[in-house]
Amino acid sequence: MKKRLTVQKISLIGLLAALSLGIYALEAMIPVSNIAGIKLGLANVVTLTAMVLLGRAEAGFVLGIRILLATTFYGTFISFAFSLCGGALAYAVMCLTVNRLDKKQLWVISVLAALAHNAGQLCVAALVSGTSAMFTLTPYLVISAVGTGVLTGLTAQRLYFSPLRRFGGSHRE
Amino acid sequence: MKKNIRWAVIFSAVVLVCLGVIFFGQLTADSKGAEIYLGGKLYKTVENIENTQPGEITVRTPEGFNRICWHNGSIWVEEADCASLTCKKYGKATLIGETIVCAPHGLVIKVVGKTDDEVDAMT
Repeated sequence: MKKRLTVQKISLIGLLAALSLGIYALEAMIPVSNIAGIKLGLANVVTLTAMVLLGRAEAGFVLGIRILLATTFYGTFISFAFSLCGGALAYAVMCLTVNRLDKKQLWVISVLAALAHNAGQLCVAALVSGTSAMFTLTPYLVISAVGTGVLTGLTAQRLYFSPLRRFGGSHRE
Repeated sequence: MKKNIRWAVIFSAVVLVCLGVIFFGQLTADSKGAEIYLGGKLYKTVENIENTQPGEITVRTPEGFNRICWHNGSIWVEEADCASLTCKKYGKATLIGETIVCAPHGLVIKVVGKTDDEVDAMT
């Protein structure tokens, strides 16, 4: 596998980042009261798909661009800290697990990443507020991570096993 | 396929344990109160949020304010002047252990369970 960033890859990264930002914005518009701050995290479908189609570094770019742009458009510094910490932890877990599990187990990677994401956000919340009071939310967040992780993971898995795969080029066949 | 099932079993077990923790937490308490933390310290304890009489408190910080209301076993942020309004969007916290965080103001609201002897000890 060549490490070079080709024009094709750069444009794909841009496209996926835009797609993920769009999904993020659409999801933010859904007027459901988000209990315990739970949301589906559909934008992660794109990150996960980018990771299996393009590779780790490329997925990192997609995620980084999305977090940066989402913050400039909708966020504040604190929401940036939340996104970054959750995103970085989820990304780390994805990087560690993506080669150890089959592509048929993408949904497992997604659940693990969702768990890491929630753990990261919980830690930021604890740091920002200076109390450990919110750790009682843990069981709620674990359940939500498993639920949303399965949904987004299965979506990404479906995408991976679709004709879209050929856009990924010859990466890790 | 086998791997899928194995993982599904693991995750179901984790979810079941969490559900158990939540339900056990609800069952062991006799009434519900709330704790409001500000800047890492306990700012105020609301003894009982199950009153049919609605109650409210406005917490003011240098960064802004949060108007917190409680009624019929739920507590929620009615009004706030932060940028993200995550706390308001959270909606009502009803179950014991639920926590509303307003990160810009360093405010945490937590629903806690109270047992009767604890109430007795206080009165």
